[in-house]
Amino acid sequence: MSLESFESLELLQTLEGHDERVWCVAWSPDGSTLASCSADKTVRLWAPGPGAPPLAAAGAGAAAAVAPLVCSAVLEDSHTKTIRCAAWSNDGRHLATAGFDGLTAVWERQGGVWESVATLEGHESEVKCVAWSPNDGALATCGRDKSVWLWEHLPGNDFECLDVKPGHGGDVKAVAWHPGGELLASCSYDDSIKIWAPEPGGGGEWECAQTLAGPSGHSSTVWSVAFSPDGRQMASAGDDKTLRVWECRFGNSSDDGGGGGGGGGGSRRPSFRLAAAIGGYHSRSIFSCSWSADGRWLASGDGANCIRVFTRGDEAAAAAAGGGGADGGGCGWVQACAAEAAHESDVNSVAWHPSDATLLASGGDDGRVRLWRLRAAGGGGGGRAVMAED
Amino acid sequence: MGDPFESVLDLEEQHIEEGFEAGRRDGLAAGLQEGRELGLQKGFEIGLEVGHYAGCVRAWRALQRLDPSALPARAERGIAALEGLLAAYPLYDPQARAHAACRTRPQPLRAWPPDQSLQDALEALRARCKAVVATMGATAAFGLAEGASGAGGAAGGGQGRQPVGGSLAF
Repeated sequence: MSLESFESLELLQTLEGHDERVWCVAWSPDGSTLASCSADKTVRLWAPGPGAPPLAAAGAGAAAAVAPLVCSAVLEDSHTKTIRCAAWSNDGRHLATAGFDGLTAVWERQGGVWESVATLEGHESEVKCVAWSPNDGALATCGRDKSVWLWEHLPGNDFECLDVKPGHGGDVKAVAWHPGGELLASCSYDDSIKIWAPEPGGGGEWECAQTLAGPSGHSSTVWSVAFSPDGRQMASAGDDKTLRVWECRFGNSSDDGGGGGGGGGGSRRPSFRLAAAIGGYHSRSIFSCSWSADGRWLASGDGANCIRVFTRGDEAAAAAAGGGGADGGGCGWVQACAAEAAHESDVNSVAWHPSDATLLASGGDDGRVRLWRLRAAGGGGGGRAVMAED
Repeated sequence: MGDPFESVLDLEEQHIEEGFEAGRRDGLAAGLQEGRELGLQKGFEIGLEVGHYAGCVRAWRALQRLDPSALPARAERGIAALEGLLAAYPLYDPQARAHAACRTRPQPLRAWPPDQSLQDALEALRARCKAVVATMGATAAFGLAEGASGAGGAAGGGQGRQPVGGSLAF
């Protein structure tokens, strides 16, 4: 545990409304709305009430006040079972939801009302995650049937199954696109992370370009993967109570990992490498991880009801804080702060706001959605508008 | 002149060796038989599944000949890919790669590594078929949702599965 807490997580708001556990929280790309999905088969959208200043208003300083969020919409009657994941398209016009009923629904806002405009059928069992490619040209889904599906997004809300990728040895928990576009990461119950890329030579087929497993990988289920906004790093959260940070390296097929990190995947082959294994902080499985908008903070939610925030301090800070965790493999990553008992049960999802770098949302088994502000040491920065709704 | 009772000292070891040899001979025979039965069973299952996909492709192509607009155009790429995978699947000589490897580097039977490529090829077939079926929007009709019986996918209608008759040559 860090000996000096430079920062703290302040609870801003608690959003009640879901009847059962909240599985996932996701911010719209413009930062105006928060979506949460739940075992109660609905998606709720949260936004400031009428007349209140919008979130991430232009000109708002760091750590500005956040107006109370209210439930602005409930999306229901589409999935017949738990909705496990919700993902906004990058242009903000669509919301995709993945359900335990094996379906993936795509919603569009039409005249102020959200309508389900497409249903993707194909998975044989529960769909665990859905993610839009950076240009919204493709959708990736994954599920308990151990496969990753790629769908092409065609004009007119049409979706075509592009490819079905077997390969994982168990339930695939999550998929995430590299910000550059031509690279997809998936993580699974089989303890591995797979990196998928288009097959060289065109043809529209994808292949598993790299599998991250073994000694440098997780030793149990990997629950979540997330790319940093600049695409140079990837974080993974594991059942083995470690967060692993990977360096996104690329190399030519003939050259083993010669290229440096970089934004686009392009046609270079991925050769990711473990940069840090953050252990010794979490006492239970880590279910979710998220990078802040400025890439400085890595948040995690775990099965011990905690939210922890990590940062890459310099060597001196790492030494002063007692090192990066028990196994010493933290490589400069230290825990900046934590909110123990952030929820009354497991924290299933954490998500940083897309532009406000210190605003964090979380959702948990207690059916609540919470908003947090990361405060710098001494409580400085911006106004202190605490609008807890309890 | 040797000790006439020397062999008595080795008696136990001798018996152990004889027993071991007898066990190895019997084990070899039993293992071969068991392996043959298992091989037949697994081979049938694989043939059944590959045959199912081949049958689907045949039916789709026949449907296309009768009515060119019967299938969505976007399914063409998937069906063509499926045909390629089926043609490449080594139904009649699954050990071809292993045999070739053995010729270059002879090793005893028990040291042969399991050939993962057969498993991968079958998985690729399975995945491609699922993708094509999803493209046609027929996932429910194919009974590919959980609970469907069979190796990798039930035959339509969920009735008793009949092996696809006739030649599988493409």
